[in-house]
Formats: sequence, structure tokens, C-alpha cells
Amino acid sequence: MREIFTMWRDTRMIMLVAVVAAVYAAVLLPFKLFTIIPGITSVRPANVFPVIFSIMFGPAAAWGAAIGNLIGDIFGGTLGPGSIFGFLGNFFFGFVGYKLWGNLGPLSSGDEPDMRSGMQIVEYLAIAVASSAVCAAIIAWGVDLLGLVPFTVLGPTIMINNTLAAAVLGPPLLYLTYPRIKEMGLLYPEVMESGDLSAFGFAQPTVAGFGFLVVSLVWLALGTYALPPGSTGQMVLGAVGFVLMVVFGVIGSQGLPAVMDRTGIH
Amino acid sequence: MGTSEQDDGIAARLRRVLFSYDREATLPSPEADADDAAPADPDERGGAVLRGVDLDILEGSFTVVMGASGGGKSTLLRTLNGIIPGFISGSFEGDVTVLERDATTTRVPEMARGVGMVIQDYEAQLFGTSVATEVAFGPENLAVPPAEIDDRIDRSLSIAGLEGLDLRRSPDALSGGQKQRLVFAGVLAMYPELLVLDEPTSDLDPAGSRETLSVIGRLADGADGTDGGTGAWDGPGTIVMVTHKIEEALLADHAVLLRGGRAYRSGPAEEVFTDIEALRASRVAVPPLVEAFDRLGVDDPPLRVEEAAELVAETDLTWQPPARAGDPLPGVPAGTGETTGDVLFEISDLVHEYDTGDGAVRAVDGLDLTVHEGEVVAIVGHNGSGKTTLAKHLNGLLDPDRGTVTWDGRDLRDVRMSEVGRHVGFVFQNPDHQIFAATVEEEVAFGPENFGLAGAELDRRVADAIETVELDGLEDADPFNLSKGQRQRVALAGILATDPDVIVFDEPSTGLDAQQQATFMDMVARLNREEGVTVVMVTHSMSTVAEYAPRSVVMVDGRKVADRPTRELFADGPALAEWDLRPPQPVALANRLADQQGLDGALPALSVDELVAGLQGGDGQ
Amino acid sequence: MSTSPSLYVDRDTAIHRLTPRAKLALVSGLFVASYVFEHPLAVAVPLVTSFVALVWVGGWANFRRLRVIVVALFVVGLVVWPLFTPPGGPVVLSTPVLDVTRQQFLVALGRSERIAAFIVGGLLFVTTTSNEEIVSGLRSLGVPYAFCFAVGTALRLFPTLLGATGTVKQAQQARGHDLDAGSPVERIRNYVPLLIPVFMTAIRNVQTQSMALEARGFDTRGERTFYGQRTFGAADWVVAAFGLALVVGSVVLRYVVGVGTV
Repeated sequence: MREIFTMWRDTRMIMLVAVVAAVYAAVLLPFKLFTIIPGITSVRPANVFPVIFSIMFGPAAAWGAAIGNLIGDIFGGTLGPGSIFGFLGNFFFGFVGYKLWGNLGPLSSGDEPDMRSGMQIVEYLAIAVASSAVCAAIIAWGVDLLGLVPFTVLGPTIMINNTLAAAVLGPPLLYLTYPRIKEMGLLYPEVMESGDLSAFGFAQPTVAGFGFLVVSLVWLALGTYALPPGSTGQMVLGAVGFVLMVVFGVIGSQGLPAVMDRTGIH
Repeated sequence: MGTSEQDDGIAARLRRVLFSYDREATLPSPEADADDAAPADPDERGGAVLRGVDLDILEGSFTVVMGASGGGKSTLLRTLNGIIPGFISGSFEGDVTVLERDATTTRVPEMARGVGMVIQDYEAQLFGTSVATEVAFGPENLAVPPAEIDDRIDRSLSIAGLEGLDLRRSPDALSGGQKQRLVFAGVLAMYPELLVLDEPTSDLDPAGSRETLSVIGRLADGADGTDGGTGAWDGPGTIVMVTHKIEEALLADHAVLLRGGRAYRSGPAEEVFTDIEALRASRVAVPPLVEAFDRLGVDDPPLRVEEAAELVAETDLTWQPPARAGDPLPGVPAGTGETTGDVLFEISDLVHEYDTGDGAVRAVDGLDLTVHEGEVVAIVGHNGSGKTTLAKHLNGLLDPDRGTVTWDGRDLRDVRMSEVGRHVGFVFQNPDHQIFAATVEEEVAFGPENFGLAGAELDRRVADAIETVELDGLEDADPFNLSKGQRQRVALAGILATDPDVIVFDEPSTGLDAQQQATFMDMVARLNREEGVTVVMVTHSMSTVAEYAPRSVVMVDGRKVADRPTRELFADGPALAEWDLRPPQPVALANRLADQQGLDGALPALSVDELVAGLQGGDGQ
Repeated sequence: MSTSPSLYVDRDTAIHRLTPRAKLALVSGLFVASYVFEHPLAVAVPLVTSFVALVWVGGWANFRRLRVIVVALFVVGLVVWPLFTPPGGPVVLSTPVLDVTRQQFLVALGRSERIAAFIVGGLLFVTTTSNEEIVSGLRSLGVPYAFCFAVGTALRLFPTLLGATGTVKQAQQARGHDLDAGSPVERIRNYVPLLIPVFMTAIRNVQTQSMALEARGFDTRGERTFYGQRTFGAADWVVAAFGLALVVGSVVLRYVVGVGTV
């Protein structure tokens, strides 16, 4: 967890935040595939970025996705109270990936994410689902809280949009770009100092990994099917879900540095 | 001048500097034979880039560093502010002392207190959301008191020639030349003692280059409009610049040629730039007038047009123009565009508008143009004159708002991209805006595959195209790891593989050095001469126009103001001046000599060869 | 052709002249007022106020740009919320699927107005606040400098990359690439040749940009000063107080007096 703060010490990581944010916003606005609910949500190819950037750029992707979404709101004219939850949701959208890669126990490939094996694609898909679900749950919770659109409507919509873009586009993009970005020396384990990347002593990376995956899906399911919009139950569920996400963030750790050390191609 | 006068007046001292971008490289001995060290291909990467540089930069000097592409010029500059070895990790050895600090151990932000740096890519150096925040950024980083920053903003904007600019304006809204000058202002506001410039005009159009060049000229003269002698900062005392443009290099008083990763020749600029052997050995383009007069047997060849004209006047040389008005027009030096056929494109009354926040802006305004098969047509004019917009109508990328564009007699609005795209290839300015595939081969095959080619035919076309652009052997290479010149050739191959009848180029030579440009254009010329490919090129490079395009179309504010044979256009001094087009040196000298000798209706030389021929022809008469 | 896609309108109105913090306080007041009330008549007050202010500061064109989204969201709200609101009062609309009661209709209308008020309030802020002020505003709220820097640089890079996105699309189109070809999954995958050049050109620059940044003295560890910090003037205090009064007033009206419920 400390890496999301210590990364601000490094010029390259700061620059990555800015570039990730600008790219995310610049692709988010013009490219829309299918509109699901007019004005609210459509499948946007850019939604693959937080997930793959997270795996490659670590904490810079979390901040970058959050700021990029905010810039999308500023230039798209949708800045408002909902932007706070858009910021948080997209932060986690770009946060989960690097916490999960290499930390999903039996689902993990143990490789670097260059998408050269089936097992890597399985691991990536689990991450795409978890990242999408966390993002969808946080935003749907917030927008429900604001009384704008019911959780039941927005939760599943965002989930489907994010998952579609991330799952379909992620593997080919990582296949083509992971080796190149590694060659450029811009993977976060290479850019950040190892001290700034160390996890807390009490870290439980695999627990955190599955925690993200399972809790977000449960939150999304309960919020959609079990609780009415605007209810106290919905509000409490969201608060509990959100706190758990932060807890998993604290006890999680980043898997890629260990994978790279193990494979010895650091 | 600065604070370090006691140090024998040396601003920077490099001793036995070796560097390789490879972290595990074995560095060569600085005493190894330099001739063996020169890489075979200037585009080749890898190996040690600096192989034992010994160099003193004198305080108060303006030193220009030249050498082959990939020959270590930028790398050398980066040792001056600690970026190498502090920021870019690799293998480094040697001593670098800059402004009395050890640049090998001092952190980059610390070095920034004395050393300012401007690189070619201005977009990568602008960080602010307004002109004022951009210029204030450096001083803020140095913890200059806010009250003092106002004064620094005024001064540095004025040196950069931007004093009239609205301080709240967003940098995005500026032209390329203004952006680069804003970068200069931002760096100068830090009051550097040593200014390091890495190809500061390479990404700019001619107008932007000239604006930027005049800033550098002002700095070189030390005439920054401020009162010196108060002990306060009065401009950067010392300047070091890398460039591949001779007109820029001539601003310097001192020149260094790099070869094989070492300082191969250094001395007063005029001496070095007339040392043809040293220039050739370092793979630096010989200035055209130097080359011409050397071939004429002149011992001390001139660098500038005025000097050359005087020299001709003083000697028994006479100028014999290649043709006069009314004579049959000679072709261009490259022999391109000589066999033409039927009408291919017919554009009439074309209007194109872009929507902006403040209403529609008319980019092309009522333009007529006819292009025949086999022609080579150059479209020239300033940025924003509508050249690129016009070009994008030739393959239906844009649709007219008024008027028509026909291709082979058919209105392009009725032709699908999947059909016209096969026949009309479009090479974009920046190859990086299209390269995505894992290998050169896959990248080249992308277009033809989209157009329905497959199997053996596809393989053959792809292999042929790769061979044509001389990238054979690199089929399986990652196109991302190639040099800029090679990447531009990958983009061209991707177009060639569809076997087009027409290729439209949008400023294909941006960011390429003279050698890479020549290689690229020679390929294009061959396609025209041997396969009859029609070429329409949007370009800023007047020497490319002179060499390759028999016909030029000049655009101003969306209108076509001239459409004439290039040789005639280049003979028309007043018109060129009005449209701010600067012809290449051989053309300018030929025009000047024609004036000097009172030759009416003389048409100019378009190349060094023609210039030499004309002066030799005149010689014995 | 690079035209700035920014929604900022450069005028010299009283709202434009406020510091970003005061504008934020004002807009927050309007947001809270739109949020606490449920009755359409009550929500109409902040909505109409925001709208009048938006037109006054020159934001009509921005509203026009977003009108499709505003109308769509308004309609979606009207359709969706009756499904999630308990019935009450007489039936005002009878459809084959369900009957909409008066209470359901009023809640839905109130919610739709709230959505519109949020968008119009947000537009009021972005219409009057330049990118530069957004960054200095964040800074004046005590947000750490490195974060503000990243936001500012991202705002700076955004229009450039937006332009690059358009160019890449044209470049692949000219090579015969058809985005709309194939099944839905293939249509998503068609974006691979677009996304890679866009983000790889951006990422390729990161090394150079970071280098240029340090060469400009940027140092996350060193001391720095801040140029052009604006002080809170009298008008700022008045407006900030007004924003606060809006917050307190609407909360009191709604929860103490009980105004504005359905």
C-alpha cells in the first residue's frame, strides 16, 4: 500500500501518472463502441487501459486512471459530485491489477504478463473481472448514494462494459506491448526503488488477491439483486465493501517484482 | 562573465568519457583505434556510443557538435547536465566537470541550477497549463522567490521573442515555433550559465525554425536587451548545440565533429565546415556551396550565398544558366515526373471546413487542381495553409464540404476506402501513428491484408516491398526498435505492398536527418521513374522540392496561389519572398548570379551538379 | 488542425474573476441544495439558478454541446426511478407494464432534475475555470504538489493526445482498416491497431519527458516556491459564505423545517 504514496518520489512515475491519465482521457472520449444506456454508459475500448497499465505501471496506473477519468469529466462536461466516485472507482480499476498479478495462488501463471501462455490469459481474465467489479461496485454505490441512478441499473452495466473491453482487448495489447515496455525500462519494478515497493510485514498477498475478486463480486451481486436503491442497507453494504477494498489494498502486495526476480530476467 | 573565470575560462571539461546504453557493456579502452570503432550503419544501435571523448568547452564560446545519426551527439550533450550517468543508467566511465561541478555525481536537478537544456521535441518539454506557469516552472523548482519570478518571466519571454503573448494562454494553442520558443523562455528563466541545445529546430516548419533560430542568434550575440555589468545574469555565457542544419551551425564560432564516439576534428566553425575530408569522414553533409566550389577547384570554398557571389565576381568564373524563359524547360535533377499520362485527379472548387468551438474554420477554400498520371507534384506553404487537408481529399479520408474530387473520372464520395485505398497510398508524417504489429513483416502485411490479399501473392508483395525500402533482413525485427528513418521506411513499405498507382506523402521527412531524407526520397524517385507511380507530396523541404518535383503548388490560407514548374517558381524571387519560401542555396546563388550578371529570364540551377555545370560552362567563355 | 476541446470560456464575469476555491464553494452549495430536496419544485430552484448563471457566464454553447446527454439522462431518470419508488397517491400514468402514481412521478422528476442540476452546476464550474485555475485551485486546497503537477501535465497533454488519436484513426483507415467489420467481439478487437500506436507514442515519450523535467530542476525532494498564488478577496469571501449558507440553509430547510419532500 505504501507504494501508492512513495511513487510520488520518482520523476518517471509522476510522468507516467500524467501520461496514463492523458491517454486514458484522450481515448475514453472519442471512442465508443456500443451505447448501452444513452448518456450513461457505453462500451469504451479505453476501459482496457487501467487494467493493463496497472499490471505494467503499478501505482502510476491507479492514480493515472483516477485523474484520467476526472479529465474526461472536465472535458466531457460531466464534472459533478459523481466525479468523486468516478475518481475512486477508477483508482481501484487501475489498482487491483498489480496487486493481483502473481498473487492469485492456483490461478497465477507464475510468469511475466506477456500473454504467451493459456495460464497467463486465465490469470489476466480473473484480474480483468476483479478490476471491473471493484470499479463497478464503487461507482454504482456512489451514484446510488447520490440518488442519480439505482445500483441495480448501473452496477451490472459498468461491470459488463469494463469486463468486455478489458477481457477482449487486454491479451492482444499485453502480448504486443509488454515486451516493448519492458525493453524501454518502464515497468514499475524497474522504475521504482525496491525499498519504496516493499509490502508491510503482515502482508497476506493471496488473501488480498482473492479478497478483491470475491468481495467485489459479492458486493455487486448483493447491491444489484438483494437491496433496493437508496436504502440504508445499500449504503452500509457499500461502506463495508469499500472498507474491505482498502483493507485488501493494505495487506496486499505487488506480485510482478517477485515474478521478475524469480525468472531472473530483471 | 560567469563565476568561474578563475578556472582557465573552461565551462565544461570532458576527459576519457565512455558510455554505452547497455548496462552490462564492456567499455572499450579510450586508447583503442578510433577508426575501428565507427559503426558500419549510422542507423545501427548498440555498442558503446561514446568511446573516449576528450573535449573542452571554452567559457563564452558557442560550440556546435555535428556527426552521423546515432553517432553519440545527443549522448554527449546529456553528460553535461548529469542526465548521463545520473538519470539514464548504462555503463559509464570518465570525468566530466561542468561549471566547476562534478557532473558525474551531481543530481540532474542540482545541475539544472547552472545548465539549461532544450531538446528537439518541444511537446515533451512543456508541462504547464499556461504561458506564465510554463515559464515560472523552472524558477519555482529552483525556489526563486515568487516576487522575483515576474521579472524573470518578462525577461525570458522577451529574449524568446514572445513578449506580446497573453500570459494566461494555453500552450496547446500556440504554433510549433512558439511552443519551442516558450521552451527556451522556460529554460532561460532559470538564468543558466551554460545552455545546451539538442537539435532545437528539427521538429519545426521553416517559419518556426527561423523564429527559433533568431532567438539562438540573439543569445549568441549576447544581445538579450538587458544591461550587463551589474553582476546580474546577462544571458547564458556559453552555448553548446547539436544540429544537422548548416545554416544553424554557422551561428556558432566553434565546431566539433564526432566520429567513432570521439571528438574527431574541432576548431573555428568556418574552418571545420570547409574541411571536406573531415566532414565526409564524420558523415556530416558537406554544405552545398562548399561542395560546389571545391569541385570547381576553389581553395577556400564559401559557406554563404553572399560570399559565393562575391567570389564569382572576383574570379573569372561566369554563370551560365541551365535555361532561359521560353527555352524548353529542363527536368529536375532526379529525373522524376518526366513521363506523364491521362488525368488522374480532378479537383474543382474544393472547400473544406473544420468545426471548432468558435465556429467553422475554412482550411481549403475554393481550390482547383488537376494531377496527371506519372507526375510528381509538391504542395508547399506554411503550416495551417491547408496542405494536409487538401492531401487527405485525394484518397477520401476527408469529404468535401463543397466542390468535387474525382479520381480516374469517379467522384471520390462514391468510392469506398477499401477500393481507393488500394490504389492511392497515403504516407503519414509520423510513422509511429500507425506502427503496431510485432514484426516488420506483419506490419507491412496489414494494409494488403485489409484490402483482401492473401497467401503467396501477399507474401510476395510484402517481401518485394521490404526489399524495395532496403529493410530486407529485418523482416522479423520489432519495428519499434528501428530508427526513425527505418520506421518511416516500414510505413512506406506498408503502402508499397498494396501496389498503389499513386502515393501521397504528408511531410515524410520530418525528424529525419539529411542522409535519411536522401535515402527515403531516392526510393520514392525510383518508384516514379521505374514504375510510373504518381507522387503528390506535402513538404516543407525546399531542397526536396528542387531535387524531385518538377511541379509545385503553393498554398496560402487555403487557396492555391501558384501552380507552376518548380524551376520557374524558384526563379521568381519576389513571389518566393511574398510567400516566405526560402529556396535552397544552389538556387539562391544561381538567382543572385543571374542578377549580378544582368541575365534576363534566367532559370536557376536546382542542384549542386547543375550549379557546377553552369559555372564550368561559363568558365572558358 | 488542433482546436482546443476545452469547455472553458474566456470571459470577464464576476464568477470568472473569483478564485477557484470560491467557485468550488458556490458550486458545492448548489450541488447540496439539489441533493437534499426531493420535490421537483424545490430541486428546480438550484437547477434554474445554475442554468441562469451558466448562460450569464457565456456557457450556452457548452450546454448545447451536452444537451443530448442531459435530455437522455433526464428521460432515463424519469423511466427508471418509478420502478424503484414505492407507489403513493393517485395513478397519473397508466401503461400496459405498470401504473405510475403521483408520488412515483414526482420522485422521478425530482431525481431527473437533480441529474440535470449536477451537470449544469459542473458546467458552470468548467466554463469559468481554466485548466491553470483548476490546478492552482487543487493546490490551494492543500493537495500535495506532485499530484497537482501530474493533473496539470495531464491536462496539458490531453489535447495533443486527442489529436494523435484522430490521426491514428485516419492512418489505419487509409490502410484499409475497417472498425465496423465483424462480430461484436471482433469489433472490439478492431481497436488493437488504434490503441497501440496511440499509447505507445505517448509512453515512448515518458523517458524524454522525465529527463526534460529533471533538467528543468524538478525535484521531488527539494524546496520549491509557488508563483501566482491568488489571495482570497472580498468577493471570494462573500461568495464562499453564500455557498456555505446554501449548504446550511438547504439542510435546515429540508431536515428541520421539512420543506421539499414528496
